[in-house]
Amino acid sequence: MMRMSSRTCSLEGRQLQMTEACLFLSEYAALMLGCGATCIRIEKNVRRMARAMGMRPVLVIMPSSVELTLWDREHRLSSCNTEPIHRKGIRFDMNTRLSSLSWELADGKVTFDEARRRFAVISRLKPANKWLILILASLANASFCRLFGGDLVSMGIVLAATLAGFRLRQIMLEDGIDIRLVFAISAFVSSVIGSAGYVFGIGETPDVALGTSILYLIPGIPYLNSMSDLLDGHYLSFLSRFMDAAVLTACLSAGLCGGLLAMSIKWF
Amino acid sequence: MQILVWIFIVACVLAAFVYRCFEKTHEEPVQNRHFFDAETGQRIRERPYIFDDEDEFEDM
Repeated sequence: MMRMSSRTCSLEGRQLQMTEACLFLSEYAALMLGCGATCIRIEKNVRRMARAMGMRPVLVIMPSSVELTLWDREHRLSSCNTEPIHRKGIRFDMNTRLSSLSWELADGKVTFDEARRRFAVISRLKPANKWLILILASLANASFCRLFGGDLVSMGIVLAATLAGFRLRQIMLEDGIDIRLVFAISAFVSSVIGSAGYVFGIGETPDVALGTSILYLIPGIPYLNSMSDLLDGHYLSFLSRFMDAAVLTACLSAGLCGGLLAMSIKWF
Repeated sequence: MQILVWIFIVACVLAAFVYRCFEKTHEEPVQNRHFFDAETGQRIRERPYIFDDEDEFEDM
């Protein structure tokens, strides 16, 4: 009887430990999914940490949630949690820190409690400086114009178009406006400003300026992530990410067409 | 005409930027939807579940 009671206490302790680990790992996976990590990365990181804690994970990644079941090595005890995705936008800094945390826990450099504390700090990280992003994105888009053969005047036009469109996008997103409308309006404004070469007859390459003025809106990372999920066999996640990106692309195309119509520029 | 339309649209955008400059800014608060305390790393026991469609549940 005594042996039975002590065994029950041990199992209860182990079960509590597994529940804590399951909550941590599911929260971790939901945050990684929300900051733009691919499914294969999430699976690897969660598996790495779970194995370091002597557990076997079964992870189901859905478009808006993550379901994690943890089993002990003997397959006697399990813990399960479904965590809704924590949408943070594409955040590579957060992504990198979370991956690094998984290695530190797996290598035994941090304890479980320390890992949870670090996780809490990472999940509260503020986004990068919006003005710096605005300037860097504008310079990058102007450089794209040069890569596609645009002259200096066209680069200046693209720089101005991106500055205006990107800032407008930031303002509208801060105000909580629907992202599809935000993309359409930003593309409209950028294409109108980008058409300055046609309107005022300046520069040798107004077509390149107009074409590259909306490149900053292309959802490249969601497209790349969706392809990674496709190759890894996560078809639901692939379809979800691909459709999200396709809808945004359709919205920016609508904005571009609106800009061309407003400026009476021939499409073909 | 084309130039007038271009100037009108750019003027509207500039007006929006100027209006925004003088409008009271509102910082997005960092959401407190976390399991773990940043100081101790311990799980927050009374953590309420918050979903994106929370308002719909409140109406029910």
